[in-house]
Amino acid sequence: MSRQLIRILGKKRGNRHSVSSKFGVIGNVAFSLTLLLLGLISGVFFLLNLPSGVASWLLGIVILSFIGFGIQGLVTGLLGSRVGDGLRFSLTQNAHRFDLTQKRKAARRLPNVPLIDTLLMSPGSTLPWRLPVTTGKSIQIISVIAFFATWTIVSLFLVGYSVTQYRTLNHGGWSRWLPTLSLLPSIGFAIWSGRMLTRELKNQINIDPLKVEVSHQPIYPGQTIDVAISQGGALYVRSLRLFLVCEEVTSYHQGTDVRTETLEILREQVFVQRGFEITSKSPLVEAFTVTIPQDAMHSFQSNFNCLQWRIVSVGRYRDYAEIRRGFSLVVHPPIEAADDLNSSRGDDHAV
Amino acid sequence: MARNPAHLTASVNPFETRWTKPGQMTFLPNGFTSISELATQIVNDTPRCEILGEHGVGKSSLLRALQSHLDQQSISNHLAYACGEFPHDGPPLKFSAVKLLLRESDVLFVDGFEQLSWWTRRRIIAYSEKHDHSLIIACHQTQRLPCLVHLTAAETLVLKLVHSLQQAQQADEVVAASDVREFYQRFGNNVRELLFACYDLYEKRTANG
Amino acid sequence: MQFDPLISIRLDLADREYQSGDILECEYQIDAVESDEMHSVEAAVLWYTTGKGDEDQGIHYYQRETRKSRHLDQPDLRVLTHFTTTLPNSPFSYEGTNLKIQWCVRVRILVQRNGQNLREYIHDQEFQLQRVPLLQS
Repeated sequence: MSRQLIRILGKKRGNRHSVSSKFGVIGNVAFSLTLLLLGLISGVFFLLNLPSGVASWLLGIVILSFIGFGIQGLVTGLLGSRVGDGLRFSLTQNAHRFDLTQKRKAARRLPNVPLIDTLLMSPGSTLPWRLPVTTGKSIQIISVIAFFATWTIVSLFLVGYSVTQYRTLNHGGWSRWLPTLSLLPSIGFAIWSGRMLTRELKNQINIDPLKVEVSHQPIYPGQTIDVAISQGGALYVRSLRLFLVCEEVTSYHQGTDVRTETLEILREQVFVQRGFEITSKSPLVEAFTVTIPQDAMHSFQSNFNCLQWRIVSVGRYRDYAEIRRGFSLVVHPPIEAADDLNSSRGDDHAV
Repeated sequence: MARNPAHLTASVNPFETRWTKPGQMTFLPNGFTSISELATQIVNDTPRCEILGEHGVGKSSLLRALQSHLDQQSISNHLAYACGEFPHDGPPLKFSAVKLLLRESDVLFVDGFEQLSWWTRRRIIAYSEKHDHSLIIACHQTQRLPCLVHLTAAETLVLKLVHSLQQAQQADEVVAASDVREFYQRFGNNVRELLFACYDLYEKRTANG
Repeated sequence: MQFDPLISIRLDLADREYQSGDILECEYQIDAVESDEMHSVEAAVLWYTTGKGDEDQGIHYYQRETRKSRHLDQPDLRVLTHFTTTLPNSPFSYEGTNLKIQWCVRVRILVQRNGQNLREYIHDQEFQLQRVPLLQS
């Protein structure tokens, strides 16, 4: 049964809610956006009519906090909505158990091999392990918000300044015309960045994240694992492809000269589906297998170099930009202990 | 797909970072004055000066060559790194440490000088001028000291460098002179990028067999 | 004319291909240098990365001897010295494109001749750390 997006008296009934799960995300985003805009507008008026003394400092701090909390709320609200129930549950259950001795033992047993971090690796609903997303869009979202905020401030300031100049009778020359001439381009930038932000918000809210679950972690060379993917929402998918990818990531530092290069040494398509619709009644649910090559190198991590395995999804949707996400896999060196094979199926970690 | 395990007789890429990192390659003079003349100029005429040049053009190698020459002349000197030896990600040199080094040695070389903060750089230069200490710095942009030499990577020098790197590892001449000329057209003075391109080409050609 | 010191390293396996958990046995000795010129000798089993990125290194085994730390009945640092170590589970030797991982036994000596400054000499003997074939359960 579909749920209303907004309902005045939404109720929680056990584990169910009587309103859509998107209500929380939209509410969070709306609140943070309101804070941010209030902060920006107040900031412009503040700059145009600077009070003196302690009041100016106090008011400045309050306005900055509005802007800061607004940006922070937008970013975390959008990114936090990507965190699944499983991970939230895992974090709350395991946060008090920082078993550092176990981590040190595991690190000594397999030096320079990434460990399976049970804090970040949440249990799946279909298969034992849900893979964390490695490629996020936090920087992109922050950049878009910062760009929008900057040009909104500039535009509002120019509007306020131009109006003030026109009302002042004694001014003339460039101090009167230059702000007015700058109005059109700066408002144009603000509108354009606003549209970018709207598109980004729309992408983040409307497209549910792809969830990838695997039957085993860590994985060993030559091993075949089951993979289950699921995605909800309401959208038309032109194509969805998943690849098994192995990358060498090398960093070179020489004082100010810093470069990082990522080289794909394996890209194998493991899943493809084209031209289908995802709705609330028929979400995407698929299962397939992935085999790690027999002669594959294990995952490796050091200060400046690493070798990483990932499942990369490339989704093309109608009305939305292409979305790429990476899900990290950990390939361990093959070892003989049977108990390691048991734990890789998640028996000891299933909830 | 990468092979594992590796073979003991695997060929070594002569353009790996371990062979091309700063100070690792022997300095190749580019037709200007020789090392001994530069060293004489430092000792007699220009005690405080700078060596300019792009990334990978040989500044660190020149500093080491000058240091080695002064060692042979029994002139006390010290080579300091602004942020530690390669890969230069250590804590930055403090002014107090530089002061001590200036007092203790006849000549102080500082590699990567511009990685220090503006204030530390100005203090070091002012101190060395005030007390007439000899200070030679290597940097990408001028710090307003007299220029000892501005290193540029001429095509002939780069050809010599690539040839010597391949020869040092007893490797076949996989990267030919024509390849180096093409890279030089593309990267110009940025020897670092040129060497990375040589690395990629060497890997590609040896993988294909 | 003076020769550089000669460092010889010998591993127990002729093909130098080891597996995780194997015991590596190594012998080394130093020649072409006088006993009183030897200041110290260090032996290590380590891996290092090469390729396009900065070098990383991990030391699995290390020992150092100086003239003072040697036994009184055998103060000569040049003599044939033996050590063993159990090789770890990772990282394996790897030959990629931009990244390579190489294991070696490294012997480093510090020598002081004729009142000159200390000089170091290093010699590596490379070996492979291979993967164990996966056991089918």
